[in-house]
Amino acid sequence: MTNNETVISVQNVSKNFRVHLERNHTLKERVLYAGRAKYRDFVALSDVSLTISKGESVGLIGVNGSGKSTLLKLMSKILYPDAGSVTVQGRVSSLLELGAGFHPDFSGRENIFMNGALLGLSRKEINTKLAEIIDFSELGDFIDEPVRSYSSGMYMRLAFSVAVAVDPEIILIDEILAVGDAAFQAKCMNRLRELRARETTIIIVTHDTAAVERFCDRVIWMHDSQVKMEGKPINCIQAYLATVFKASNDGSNKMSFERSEISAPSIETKLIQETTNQVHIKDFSEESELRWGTGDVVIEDIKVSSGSGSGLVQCGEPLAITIRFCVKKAVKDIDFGIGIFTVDDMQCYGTNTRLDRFGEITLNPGTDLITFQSSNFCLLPGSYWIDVACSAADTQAHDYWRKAVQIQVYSDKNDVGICRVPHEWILRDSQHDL
Amino acid sequence: MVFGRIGEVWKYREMLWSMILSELRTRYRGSVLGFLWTFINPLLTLLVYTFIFSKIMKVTMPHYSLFMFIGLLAWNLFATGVQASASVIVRQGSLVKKIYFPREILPLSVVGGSVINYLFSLVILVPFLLISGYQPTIYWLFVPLILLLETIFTVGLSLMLSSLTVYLRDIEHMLGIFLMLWFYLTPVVYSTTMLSPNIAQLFKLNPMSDVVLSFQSALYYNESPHWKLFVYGLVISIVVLIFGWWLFGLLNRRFAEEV
Repeated sequence: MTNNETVISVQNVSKNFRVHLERNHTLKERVLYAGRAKYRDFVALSDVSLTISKGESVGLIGVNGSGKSTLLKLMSKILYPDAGSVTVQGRVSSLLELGAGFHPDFSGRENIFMNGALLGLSRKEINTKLAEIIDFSELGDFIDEPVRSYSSGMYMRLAFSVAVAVDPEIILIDEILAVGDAAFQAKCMNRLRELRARETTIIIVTHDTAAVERFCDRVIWMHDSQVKMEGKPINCIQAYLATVFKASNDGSNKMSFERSEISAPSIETKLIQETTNQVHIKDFSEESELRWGTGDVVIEDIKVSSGSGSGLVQCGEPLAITIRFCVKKAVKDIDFGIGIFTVDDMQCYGTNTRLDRFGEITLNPGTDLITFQSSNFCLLPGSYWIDVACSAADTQAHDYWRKAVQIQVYSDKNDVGICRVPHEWILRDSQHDL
Repeated sequence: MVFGRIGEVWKYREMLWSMILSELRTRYRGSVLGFLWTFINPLLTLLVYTFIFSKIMKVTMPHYSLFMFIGLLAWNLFATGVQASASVIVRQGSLVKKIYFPREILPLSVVGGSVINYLFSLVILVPFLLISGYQPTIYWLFVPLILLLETIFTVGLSLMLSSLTVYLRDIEHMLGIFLMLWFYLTPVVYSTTMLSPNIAQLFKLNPMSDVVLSFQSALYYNESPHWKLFVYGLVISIVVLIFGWWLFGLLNRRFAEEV
């Protein structure tokens, strides 16, 4: 789908922002504090170089404040670099914020014209596309109502409809894929796929790594104002998630003006591989409404172990959930169970030792371990919560822990659904068998 | 550099036009009389001045309210254009931060709106000229030229002030007083014949004097504008425009960070 014609070239670009500690906006302050401007520089990008070819779909990922959006704004000429150069060839449509420039007093129809003009469409072009835009937005009778009476969802629908009606050669998108309801989102993604099929260069900034993985040919991972890694989506996303979750568990994700000195890619990546690939999440002391039970058996610690890294699991790879528990009072005929939920609380799977006919568990006071082991963890990419529980035969919970651990699943295939059904394809060779 | 910028603005002429239209349409939106205010405003102004100066103050100058109205319309174009464009980039900060377009569009659309408002007010001025006993003359043809001169000057100053205001917000507040002073240094409410000749010469250095005097020549005195005055005004205006645009080009690089 891509050829080698470069459409965006970023050469050794650096960009600093002045963070005004006290703004000297007025004349008095300018005179009084002349030459003592109270600001410090925040490095948003430092010596970044990259090229993007025609027809490529590129995902920019990275934690908040890593410079992704700054890079996108430089490409769309909203910001200018302090050093280096950015050259962009072709008609650019940048969707940095949906509905920027909507006028609340005018009707949806009038705003289509005004917004279209902002995106560089002529009145004639908008006229030919008007029906298509209104149709796409599904706003129906509301199109002639003032935009101020719209719900935020309707507002987004209208804005996206105008934005994608532009037939750009390059489209820059910042975190706007989450528009409208699920059906409309799917429609938006389809429209982007259509644009991609037409050799449109697409650059997306998003935190939705699953979408990036499905949609992009290449991923650029920004970290601490620099390109930390670029290449195949699967490799970058895996390395990115591993780093982010590790940092989050260490509590070192705090934003700072200062960029860490040791941001050489190799060091951290190595560290991740050397660590034990396990997560310990939450102390027992953290009681909440997500936890209840008699307390006869207390779950002390949960470890998720996989081949990929902390909290990360590759679809189809082995996974082990180890529960360490402490028996306070001798218990008879109890069971241990786990449940796996999507972030929107849909249960994907749940089982326990009783359902699995593991056998009667009777325990005396003391500490012990039990492990749930899967040789083929088949849920598809996304974030999942894991519940763990220990219950008595009469279903009375000894310790029930909702959302005890979160895991991230990624995949190198783009199959869809909730889980990967173990399967293989067989093509009967008619030449020989018939 | 300036010519490259003009090319870029030309590419976005649709947006410029749409901004001018929405500027004009939002101005009186929500009021009962709506767009009619565009005409009612100058009409009422005219009635007030006629009443004060011919019934109360008994100014001896013939058709004084007409004399003043001609100058006032020209002045209003300039003053409202400059005043509104000074703050336009800060006001439209959300656009500046989110969308690329040549930033010149913003002050240009404000001045464009003022020019169109001036054209609408001609709907009041022309009948008033006829009622006062004036016949259309060949000199009326100078009006578009003088208007062009005034537009060039206003655009130049607007580009300068709008970009400076982003970095120095005081300008917006100082401008009101400054424009009031400028108004009295421009022969709108008085004629230069009332001044001593030396001072009158000095006053002509002010490009707005040249604009107002030229309008008065063409419409009030029925004569062609003094060409020396006109050429001087044009040269100053073009210099201001080029300098303004150059300054704007320089300052516009950090707009998105500063607004």
